[in-house]
Amino acid sequence: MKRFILLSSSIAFTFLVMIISCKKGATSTPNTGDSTNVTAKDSTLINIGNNIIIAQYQSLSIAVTSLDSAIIDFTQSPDATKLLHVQAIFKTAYVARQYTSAFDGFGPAMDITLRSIDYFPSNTTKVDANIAGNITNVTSAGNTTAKGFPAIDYLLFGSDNAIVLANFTTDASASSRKNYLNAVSADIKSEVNATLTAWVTTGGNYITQFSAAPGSDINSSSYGLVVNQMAQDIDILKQYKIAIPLGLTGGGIQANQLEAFYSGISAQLIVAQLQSLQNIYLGKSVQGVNGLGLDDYLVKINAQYHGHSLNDTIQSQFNVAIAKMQAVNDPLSTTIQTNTAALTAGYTEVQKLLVLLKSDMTSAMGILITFEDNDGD
Amino acid sequence: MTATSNTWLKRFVNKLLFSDKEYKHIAPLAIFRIAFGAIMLISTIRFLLKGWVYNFYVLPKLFFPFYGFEWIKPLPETGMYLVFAIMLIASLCIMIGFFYRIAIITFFISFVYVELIDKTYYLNHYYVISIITFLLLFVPAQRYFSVDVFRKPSLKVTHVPAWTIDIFKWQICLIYFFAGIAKLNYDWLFRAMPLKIWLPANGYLPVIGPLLTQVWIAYLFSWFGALFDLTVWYLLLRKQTRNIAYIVVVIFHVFTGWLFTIGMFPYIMIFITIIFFSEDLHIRAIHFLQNIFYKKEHNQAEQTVYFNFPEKRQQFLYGMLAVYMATQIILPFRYLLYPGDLYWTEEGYRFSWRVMLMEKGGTTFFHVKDPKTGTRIEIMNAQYLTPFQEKMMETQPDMILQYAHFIHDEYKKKWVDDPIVTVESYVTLNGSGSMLYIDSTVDLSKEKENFLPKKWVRPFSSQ
Repeated sequence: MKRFILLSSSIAFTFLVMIISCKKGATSTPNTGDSTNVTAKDSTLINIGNNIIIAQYQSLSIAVTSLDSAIIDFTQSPDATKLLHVQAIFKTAYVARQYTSAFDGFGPAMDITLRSIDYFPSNTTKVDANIAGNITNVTSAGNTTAKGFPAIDYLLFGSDNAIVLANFTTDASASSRKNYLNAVSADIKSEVNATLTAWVTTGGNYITQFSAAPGSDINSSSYGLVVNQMAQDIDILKQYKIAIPLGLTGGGIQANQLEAFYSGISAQLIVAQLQSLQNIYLGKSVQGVNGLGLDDYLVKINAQYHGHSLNDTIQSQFNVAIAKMQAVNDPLSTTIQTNTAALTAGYTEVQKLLVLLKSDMTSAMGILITFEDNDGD
Repeated sequence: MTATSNTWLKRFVNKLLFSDKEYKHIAPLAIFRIAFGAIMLISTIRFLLKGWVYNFYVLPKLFFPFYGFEWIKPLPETGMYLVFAIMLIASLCIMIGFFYRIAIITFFISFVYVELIDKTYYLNHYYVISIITFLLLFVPAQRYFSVDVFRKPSLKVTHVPAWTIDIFKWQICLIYFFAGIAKLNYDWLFRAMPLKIWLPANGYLPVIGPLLTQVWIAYLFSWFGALFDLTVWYLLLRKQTRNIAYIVVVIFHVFTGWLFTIGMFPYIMIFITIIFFSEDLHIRAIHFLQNIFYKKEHNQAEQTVYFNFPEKRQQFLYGMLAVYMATQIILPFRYLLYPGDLYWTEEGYRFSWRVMLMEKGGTTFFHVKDPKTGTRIEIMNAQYLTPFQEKMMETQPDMILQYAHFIHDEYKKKWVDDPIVTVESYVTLNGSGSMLYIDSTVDLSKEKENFLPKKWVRPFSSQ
């Protein structure tokens, strides 16, 4: 009897609360959820995996292979024309690298630590010491900031071209410097190619594993990996490419902390990295074909942002952030002093984009940021 | 039983527990001890194998202790592993009933110690474990079918005061009921949130995948989930519905465990709800187990031996139970004392059986400022926090405050005397769209943690 009373009262209480909730619900936003099959997640992963990730690694592979040939050609008989040529090719390759940075944190790139081809700023003291010591093994742990693109940036653009050329011709360490440049370039090429090989079906075939792992948890799902790494990538961009050089993390403006400080294409690289993230979001291939991306998923689940479409908000924020950064002129090492306001404006928009990707997109996709158990609180 | 001054308390407690008899057969308690010990053993091994001892308690540079327990600190690496080794051995001893009293005390202390180190890892099921272990401290769970009894047959009893079994049922009923109450809110019932986000995220699953992406399924699951939590405890109590209710319990927990990353929770619930079954069934289960380990004749009737707590202890126990039960009932309602949206402020959120209720995501940018020169520095969270700590901190005001104090002390050491710490944080709750969470003008280093409402948390607006 007592139990019966308790049960009845709890059911009564339940309905009471429901009725109260109902009243509150009368003014709710209409449910416009898609009732058809919401998503074919695997097709999105196949698109991102093949047409973006592998395709970008292929572009980068071509770029660093041609850089390596140009460097070998240059070091065999350095002259002013070859220097200009190799410098131009370096810039192209450095831009291509930006389109892969969002994939540094998982799969083959993670295993190979591909990120080490772009640890900036370069430790120039270490580079010089290595050259003085005629060291050509750049893969040891102590050399992570004395190799990769930043080291080449320093070696090829460290002074005006006449001095750079002299460093490779008449300087006492010219021969050792040439060896070092070759070694750094060969290392980049080998790391990029190893990553590419590990991805493709004819090699390590990570693509198959990648496109067959939908879901939302980070340890077993490619969505978890891609989305978390996008957030991480833009966070790195914000911190290391803008905040630190701008002195926002302390110490005043430090232009020498910029990526590509010597070649002076820092702003261009930031824009490229933002475009890379935009491409992943849109599912846009290297050829510019807009396929299945994260945007399609957000549209299909009807993700909202303060009463508007979350997808529209993210798309327009990508455009704003990219436009603001395009308005910042290279060399950034000069602009950072002369037009701090422009860079700060870009920074603000990048930060807004970061919030949208990290808080809103991640949350809307139900993606977990961690490996651990949770109970949703 | 002699009439004593605690009679009214005893009667009161037994009423609250719906105990219809004064004594019950001990078999359900013995099985409960074995089941709980087993799941703790598995849970501890799993924790070790996943490398969480290192990732949670060795790797982080700072920790987020609970309010009032700031003095609890992690041990060095070897020490932490030792604590888990102790827990592993203790859970095994609980299971087999070997030096049970020492084992349960040891397990309780080590488990609660580990939980108190860092609230980042707070989970409702760790709270369940803490409570059950606490209750197991007081009951004679080793007095039947245990190594202790095997060693010293005089320890054996067949009947124990009813509350020593009913208290566990009561606790489990309470968990389900409060979990159900917590689901009776607008977001859960009428927006199907957060299931409308979480279910489509599983849309890739074979067979049911396409179903999970349907909006009506999210509503169905939400309503069924609420109904399940609100009624299943009663159906488990009733003899007529018990079997079917248990089957539903198993299906429900296995299914949610399969869909969501909720770790051991489903299995813990499946194991501990066994206690609802009749004593006959438990006795038969014990006979079955005995036959596996040693052939035993069950022909002769078991001699009935009653277990009684000493008179003095009884007074203490009933008093303790009354306080404990009152706390359990009141604690989940403490949020009513705070203004604002519970899910947003999370004031009174923990220790209330609120499970899987919200999808919350945040991004925080902390700044320190030199009060004299006005120079402002942005903090890189990853420098101090693990990704897990950062994620949990970003949506929970008390952790934001703790982290702000840490930054204050850190920059006081290496920068200026009394730096101002502010945070610009953006949080989205159940797909609301991110918005400013904490008043970004407030110097958090001057704010103190306490049980008063946190005025610097900005109000939640759904528009």
